[in-house]
Amino acid sequence: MTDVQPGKFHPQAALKGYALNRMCFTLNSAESRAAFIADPDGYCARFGLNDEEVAAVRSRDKKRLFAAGGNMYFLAKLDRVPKPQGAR
Amino acid sequence: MGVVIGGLGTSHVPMIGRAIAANKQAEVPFAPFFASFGRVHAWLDEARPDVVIVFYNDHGLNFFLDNMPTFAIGVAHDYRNADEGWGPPEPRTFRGDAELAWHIVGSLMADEFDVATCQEMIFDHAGITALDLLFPADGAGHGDIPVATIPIMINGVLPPLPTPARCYKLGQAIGRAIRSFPGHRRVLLVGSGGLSHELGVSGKIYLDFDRLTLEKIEHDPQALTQFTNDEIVDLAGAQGLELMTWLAMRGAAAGGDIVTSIYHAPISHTGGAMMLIDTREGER
Repeated sequence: MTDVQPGKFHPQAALKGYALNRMCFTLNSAESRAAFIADPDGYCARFGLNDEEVAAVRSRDKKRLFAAGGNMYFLAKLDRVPKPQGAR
Repeated sequence: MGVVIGGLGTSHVPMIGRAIAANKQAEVPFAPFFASFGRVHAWLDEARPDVVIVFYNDHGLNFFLDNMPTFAIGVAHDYRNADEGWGPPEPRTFRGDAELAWHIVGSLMADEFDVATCQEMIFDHAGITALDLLFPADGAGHGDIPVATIPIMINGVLPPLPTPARCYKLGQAIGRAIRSFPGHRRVLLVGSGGLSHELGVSGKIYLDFDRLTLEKIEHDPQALTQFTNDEIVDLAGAQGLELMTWLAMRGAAAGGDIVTSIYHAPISHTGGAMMLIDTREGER
């Protein structure tokens, strides 16, 4: 895929990252944040994130999260969850 | 009849809300931004709005990608706040104006704007921060909001997004709707967003574009409708697209005179701005 610039329309990119964004959207609730913190990979699995998305979530790296189809308005919810040790 | 008494554009970055919650408006580096609202408060006392219509963009709170409207208007009797990921907030309820909102919907549909209607809607910080700036508490925390609110969400999350021209025309159609309302309402339009910024990328503020925006919003808002969405992303960052909210506001609140405005950059990672336009005629 060509480079995707956030904010611009790319039909192929629009198909990416739905599960990742869905998972991040749930982090609005304290209960979900607690479940995520207790078991990040298990929580991601509940929403069917693929390997690229799970790796991006683990890294907390914006470039990887964007590349996986993450949308900033939903990634902001992930930003509000304390980072695990070792993540950037 | 309904009267459009004015329009106000403002930034809404979360740091503004946090400063209000901590009662540190005079201490933060962007204190002049808060100070500039003194004129706004004096104007509100004199202009006496009954209703504030807030154009804003949802930040992944009420709307998800499973069903993302382009324009969504609140037609409920009230709206609540909610946890946006920072922790459960003090519960608040914002009084709506279902009668005027449904009138606007009917008028918009007749005007060929097919808006989504929301009989429930969780109100995002983008809208709430604007109301708190307009109606502050005497002391710490937030004040009581003494007016009814109609939230109008413009999709700024995932493209395809409405064009700047379409948002301006939506505002114009809402202005017509307000003026055709059979009851009595004094309406202030608020555009809450921008100016330039790009979340996830620090320091992406575009002073020249922000200055141009403020000049054109005042004198020639249609000039801004010539930009494509992608051009705005290049000129003002991905979240610079929140300018749509100002364009809708200015479409509805046309003409008039500037009461006050300020540009202060940065506020957090945003080009912070506020502008108040008085559109009352014959009563000033």
